[in-house]
Order: sequence, then C-alpha cells, then structure tokens
Amino acid sequence: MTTYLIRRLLLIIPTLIGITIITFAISRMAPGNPLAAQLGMGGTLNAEAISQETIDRMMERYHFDKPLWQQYFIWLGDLAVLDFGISSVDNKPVLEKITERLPVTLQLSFFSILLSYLIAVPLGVMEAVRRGSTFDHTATILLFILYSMPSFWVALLLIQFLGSGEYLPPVFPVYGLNSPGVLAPWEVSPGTAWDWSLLPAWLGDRAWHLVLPVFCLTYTSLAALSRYARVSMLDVIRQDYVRTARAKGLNEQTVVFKHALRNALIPIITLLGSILPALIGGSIIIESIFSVPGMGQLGFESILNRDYNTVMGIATISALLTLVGFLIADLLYVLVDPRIRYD
Amino acid sequence: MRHQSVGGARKQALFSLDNPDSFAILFALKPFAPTTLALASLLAVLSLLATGCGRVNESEAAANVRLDPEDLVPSVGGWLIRNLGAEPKTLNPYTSSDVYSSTINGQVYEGLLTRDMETLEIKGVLAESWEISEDGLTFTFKLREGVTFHDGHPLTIEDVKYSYDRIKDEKTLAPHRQAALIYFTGAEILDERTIQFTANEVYFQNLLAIGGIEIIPQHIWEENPNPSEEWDFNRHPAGRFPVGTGPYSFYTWATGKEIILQRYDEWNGLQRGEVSYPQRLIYRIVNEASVLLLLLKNGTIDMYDRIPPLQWERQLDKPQWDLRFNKFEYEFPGYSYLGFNLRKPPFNDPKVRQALAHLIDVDELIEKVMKGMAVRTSGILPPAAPGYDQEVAPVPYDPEKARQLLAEAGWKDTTGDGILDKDGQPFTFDLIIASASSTAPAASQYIKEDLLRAGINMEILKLDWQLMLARVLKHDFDAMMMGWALSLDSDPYGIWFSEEADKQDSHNAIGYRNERVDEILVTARKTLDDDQRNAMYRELHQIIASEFPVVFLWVEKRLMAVDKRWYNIHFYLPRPCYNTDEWFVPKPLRQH
Repeated sequence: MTTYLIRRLLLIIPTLIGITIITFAISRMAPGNPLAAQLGMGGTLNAEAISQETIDRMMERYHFDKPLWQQYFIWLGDLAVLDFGISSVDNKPVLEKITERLPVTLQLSFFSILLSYLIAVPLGVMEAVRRGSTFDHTATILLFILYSMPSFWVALLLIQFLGSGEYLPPVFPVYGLNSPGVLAPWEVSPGTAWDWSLLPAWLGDRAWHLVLPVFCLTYTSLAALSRYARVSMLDVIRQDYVRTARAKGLNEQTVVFKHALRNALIPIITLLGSILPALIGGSIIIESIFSVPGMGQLGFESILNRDYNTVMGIATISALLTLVGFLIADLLYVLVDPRIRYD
Repeated sequence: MRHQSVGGARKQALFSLDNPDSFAILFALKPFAPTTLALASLLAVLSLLATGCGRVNESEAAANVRLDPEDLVPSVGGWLIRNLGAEPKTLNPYTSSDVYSSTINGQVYEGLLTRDMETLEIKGVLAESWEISEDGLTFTFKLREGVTFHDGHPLTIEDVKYSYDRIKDEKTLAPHRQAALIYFTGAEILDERTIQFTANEVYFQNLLAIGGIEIIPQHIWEENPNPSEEWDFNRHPAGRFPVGTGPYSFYTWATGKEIILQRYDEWNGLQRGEVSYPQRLIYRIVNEASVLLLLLKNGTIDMYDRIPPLQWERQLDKPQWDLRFNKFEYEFPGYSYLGFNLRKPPFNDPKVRQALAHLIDVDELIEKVMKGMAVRTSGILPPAAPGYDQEVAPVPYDPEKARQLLAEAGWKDTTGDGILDKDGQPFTFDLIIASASSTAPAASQYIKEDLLRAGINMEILKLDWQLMLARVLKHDFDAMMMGWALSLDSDPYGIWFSEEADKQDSHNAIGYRNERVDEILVTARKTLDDDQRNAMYRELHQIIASEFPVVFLWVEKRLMAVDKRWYNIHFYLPRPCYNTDEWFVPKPLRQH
C-alpha cells in the first residue's frame, strides 16, 4: 500500500508537467496579449497612444520578448519555489489573487456539493429500490425539469421574486455575501483585536446571503448525480447476492443498505475525483449575477485579459487537485470494496 | 457650457417619497393583475404584519415631505450611494488605467491644474499660478500654500517632484501616463514653492499632461512597509489605501463589496470656492443590470449610472418611477464607427465608401439598436468639442444616390444574381465585430440588410475582442465596427497621421493617408493657442469627412437615474460629465 501510494504520488509530477506544457501552449497560442487588453475593452479603444518604448519595457518585464520555450522554463523554475508569478493586470502576486478569491468560492461550492450529494444519493437509491413506482416517476420528471432550467434564468427569477420586494416580501438579499455594515470579527479596524461579539450576527448574515447562490449551484447537479446513484443501485439490486440476501430472510433495510448500497457506491466514488477541482473552480454565471467575487470571475477575466500567469496559476492548481482527487478516489475504493487491494 | 438634459434636472420637485425602503410602499404602488388577486390579498396581509400598522392606504404610503425654502440651500451631509461596474484593479493613480479606479482616484487625488468642467478653461488646483516660457518648453508652477494631505501632512514641492519622478521611472508600469509625458525631460525645484518642468518639444497637451499628474505623498510611498521584500512602487500597499489632497479621503475598501470615501473637511478646494456636499461617497461594486435596478428601486443605491438602453426603455419608463427618480441622458465623448481597410479594393475608391455611407440608415440604427440613446456625428472629435465643425452634416441615408455612385465606380449586377460585381468579382466583404459589444451584433445585422438591398453582400464575423484587436492592428480585415473613447481636446494625430498607417499596432489601422491632413496634424500639435488649433481641427474635420474613410455612426448617450432626494445635479461636456461633489440632499430627506 505504501509503495503504491509513493508510486502514485511520484507519477503526479510528470503528469502535472505534461498538463502545464499543454495549458501553457494553448494560452500563448490564443491571439492577443496582455498589453492589448490595456488599450481598451469590448470594441472601444482608448485614443491615448502607448509608445513603442513602453510596450517593449512591458514585454521585457513579463519575459514576453523571449522564445516560448524559455518563457515556459522561467515559469516552471519559479513554480518550483511556489512562485506563480505576478499578474499582468494589477501586478499582484498570482497566489495572493487566488487566495483572496478562494474562500468565497469554497463557501459556495462546499455547501452546494455537500447538499447535492446529501440529497441526490439517497434520492437515487430510493428511486432504484422502488423502481417503476409513482415516486420514481415523479422524482425523475421533477429532476429533469430542474435540470432543464438554466441557472442564470432561475437566479434572476429568484432575485426578482424573493429578493426585490416587488412581488413578494423581500426574503433574501440579492447581492454580495454580506449586508453592508455587517462586519466580521476581523474586519473591525486594522491593528485592533478581533471583536468576537460580532460573530453570530455576521455568520447569520452570511448564511442568509448564501441561500440563493447555493440553491442555484445545487439544483443543477442534483439530476445528474441522482441518475448515477439510481443506475448503479439498479445494477446492484438485480445481482444474485442481493437475491440471496433476501432469500435467506434478511430484512429489507439490511439488504439495501448493507449489501447493495456499499457496492453501488463505487461509481459514485469515481465522481468524487472531480469534486476537488470543482470546489475551487467557481461559477462565472452565478458569481456575476450575485456580485460575488469568486474564482469563476477571476478565471474568466484572466482569460479575457490574457493574464497568462493567473491563467496558468489557476490551471495548475486545478490540475493538481484533479490528480489528488483521483488518487483519493482510488484509495477510497479499498474502503468500500474489500476485494480491491493495492500491493 | 453646462447643458441640461431631459428629465428636468433642475425642475425642483418639492415632493419625494419618504422611506423608499419599506416594501409596503412599493406594494401600494404596484398595480396587480386580476389573476394575481388572491396572491395580492395574501401579500396585503403579510405587508400589514410587516409594517406593524393597522392599515395601509395609498395616501399614507406615498406620504410626501414638504420642504421649506431653506432646505433647498445646499448643505453638507448625507451619503451618496452609487454603483461601480467593477472592482478597481488598484488605486495606485499611475499604474491603474481602468475607469473604475479613476472614478475613485479623481475624488482622492488632485493635480496642479485641471480643466474646469463648466467653462472648459484651465484653472489652478494645487498650483496657485503657472507660467509657460515663450518657446513653450518650460513650465513653472507655484504651489498653493497651506494644503494638507488627508493624513495631515503638509503638501511640499518635493511631493510634486516625487510624483513626476515616479511616473518617469522606467520601473513604473504606467504606459499611458508615460506616453502622456513623453516630451518631458526634467523637473527642477527652484524654491520651496516653485518647480520647473522642461520639455524637448512643443505640444499643446503638455500643459495639462504635466499639470494633471496626481500628486502623491512622498512620505507614504517612499516607505517600505514590508522590509523582507524589495520596495516596489507598482505593488506598494498605498495603492490599496490612497492618501491625497482631494475633496474626499479614503475610508475603506471591502474587496468585491464596496469602497467608501469620507468628506475631507480640510480640503483646500473649499477655500477656492469649490464645494463638496455629500458626507460620504459609497461605491457599491455590482455589475448585474437587473440587480442594480432592484437596488435602485428599493433604495439601496441612490444613483445608477450607465443604465442599458433596453432596461431604460422597458423597465424604467413608467410613471411610478418618474415619481421616485430623476432620469438623465448625457452625451459621452467618443464615437462608434464602421471602418474600412483603405489598403484594399474596393475600399480604396472614395465613391464606393461614400456609397456605403449613404446606404446605412444610421437614424434607424439609433432608434432600433440604441433605443434613441445616441446622436449622429460626422467627425473626428466629440460633437461637443470646440474642434468639431458643426457645419459638417452627417451623411444622409440616400440609397438612390448610393446606387448611382456605385454605378459610376463600375459596380453593376451583370450576372443577375442580385449582387453587384465588377471585373468578374462580386461585391462581398467581411465585417468584424467584437462579440462582447452590447450594440455591434444587433447594429451589424441592420447594416447587412441595408447593404444587401443595394446588392452588396456583407458577412459578419463575431470575434472575441482580443482576437478582433489582433486582426485590426495587423491590418488583417476588410471592415470593422469599433469605437473611440475620446476627450474634448484629444489629439487626432495617432488616428489619422499617414506614417502611422504603415505601422502595425498603430491607431491608424484603417490606413488613412492625406498629405494636407498630415500637415495640419503636425502644425496643430505645436499650436498652443486653443482657438487657432481648434480652427485647424475644424478644417481637418471637413477634409476627412469629405473622403468618407469610415462611416461615422453615433455618439453614445449615457443614461443615469438618481433618487429624487438629490438636488443640484448638472451635466458637463468633459468626462465623467457630472460632479457628485456639488449634489446635495435637503436635511428632511437625509437618511444618514
């Protein structure tokens, strides 16, 4: 097991390098450059010219004057000491930009992933157990309807009906993660001690703000996930050993949860591998509509601005988390399936 | 030069809805369709519970505050809460180039001089007086006395020199600012209140370029707050906590949420007769139009700038909102155009270009695409600029004349397929537009139909802005639709000078050449007299318009709604076109 773990961990390094080479090449081959982004946006140019001399200097600062392969090795060398470089948009270190946005995205994605698994897996299992029943059909149709509704549209409807106060009393806030003026214990004023008495009010306010965006992020993944759970449970429930378990007189609960569910979980665990990168990926649409500054917006804006270092930073971290996620999933197989062993 | 907008900025309405936060009021104003009656009665009960009063009737809900005449005398107080489209990248006044940071920095920092928004005259800000040598190369400024930064430190002449040196420093990443100061070679402190700048070339923009530098406090920026790292101007934390001499001092910046500025009571401008009434300016960072409209309606923000025309037309054009908000339209300096690659046939033929200009029904575009929120333009500077020749009329829509011109140029439909041709080549070309533009995709569809009716086939290519820009700057296009953001005294040199036509990455991407135009451009740059130079630009305007190098489409009108509590709102010609410092809210209407 230990040798397996070490081998898998070592394998991550060349895979990661391969991924970064491809991402690096793709990002640089896209037309445009970070300087052009400073000339103006969205079809309107700023008439004040930039002199060639300053352009050259900018190119030099970000090493754009060097051949592509050299640029890559400079980047890789910096990465080796965990330096993701400096953003060409605001000259902030990329790592700082990411860590600034990450907590916001983590809150949203953690709750939405947790909720969607907590709802989808039991739902799928129940559908499978009562296959063909009214419950199965109703749940399928409802989930299909939910799945078909685009999240930006639902988000706007929710804002209009639950937030605006125009049609119903305003139940939820419509933008941001906190009401203005509601301060966190660490936001009091720089240099002073944290004021813990603010915490309950702040937490409550934050939870209140999270409801709508988390709902929008959750409902879309429900349908797909519960389908997976349903199908894999159906597979298992028809197996001989389940019939045997029933035949020897075990009660239905033991049959379903002890004999069937554990086996049905294996495909679900495979999906877990993709959760880690999804946690930090964020959603550009939901973040924009609710004015939440998260990773989705950061990634999108970085691509628009050709902010290569930030794009590479996000891509590398996502890639690493994906690889680690797969590894964790592989290890979890051992837990649910005693037949699997890594020697 | 102050201009009034529709909506009655100064129609001093004496009525205003008090307490717009209460949804009960909104509820009372909202007409319900019969089908929602059941829901409505349920809501009525809910709203009664929420407000805690026994009965809501309409007259009570719309209770008006009557203002006494003395309330309409401007006074300091109240918070102005407004939208900001995106988070500023940094508040370092030199390295930032986006409009969001300049909105904030414009309140925090001041320069030596500025152009008065109303009279358009140059006036002293931190400079008490200034002098330009006869050869136009030496600029001497005398610093005003008794000015303090927001932290209480007095402003010194060293701060002025330090500010200039920082922009000139090669390590500073401020390409726009460095380009503006390109002719300046040195700064010398003559005495503790006088500084002299020297330039190596005469240029009409030199005075405002040097006088417009935001003066930053040396004692703050010089310090290295993080001794473990090398001092770096571009990443200095003062870019997060700006300290200047302007009317408002920086209060907080909650990342992704809001930026708050606080009135600086010791502001030197107050002694110069300037005003600043709002106690706080609060910028909420929200970009989603539908959310912004909600925030405006429920009173979370007082002012919503840059309202999309469609939202303006469909959602705000209702009587109940006219009671709550003053709505303004103002022209924003700049223009949109359809540009041709003049290096390529058939666009090298002026007759063809003129025909294309006659074929496009710009008035229809303005009505259908811009919802009427734009005005036509015929030329190279904003219509409000003194260098714009009002005599040059925009090209009228005249398909008959266009057909005639095309025929004269040899374009006829000989094959009978409905598309004009010449020498066996059909008249077909590609138009590239930015996919992110809010207007170009719709406008180009109308243009396509206009042209097709005359037998010209235009294909529309929607490109990512970066991709589009790369192609335009490399001259790899037939035609494109873009815009120029200008100021009233922009220098048209970069856009129209012929030497720029050969260069890649230059602003003259269409490849315009005209010897007479070159002559005027070069002389005008060196002409310091405003009237003389503006006369030259008017001639330039006539020449360029007569050659139809581009189809000048329109000048965009920006749309803004402000809560009726706010008074004294005026609009001006130069960007940003309004000055929130002079707005005030009468005492009985104050909420903060």
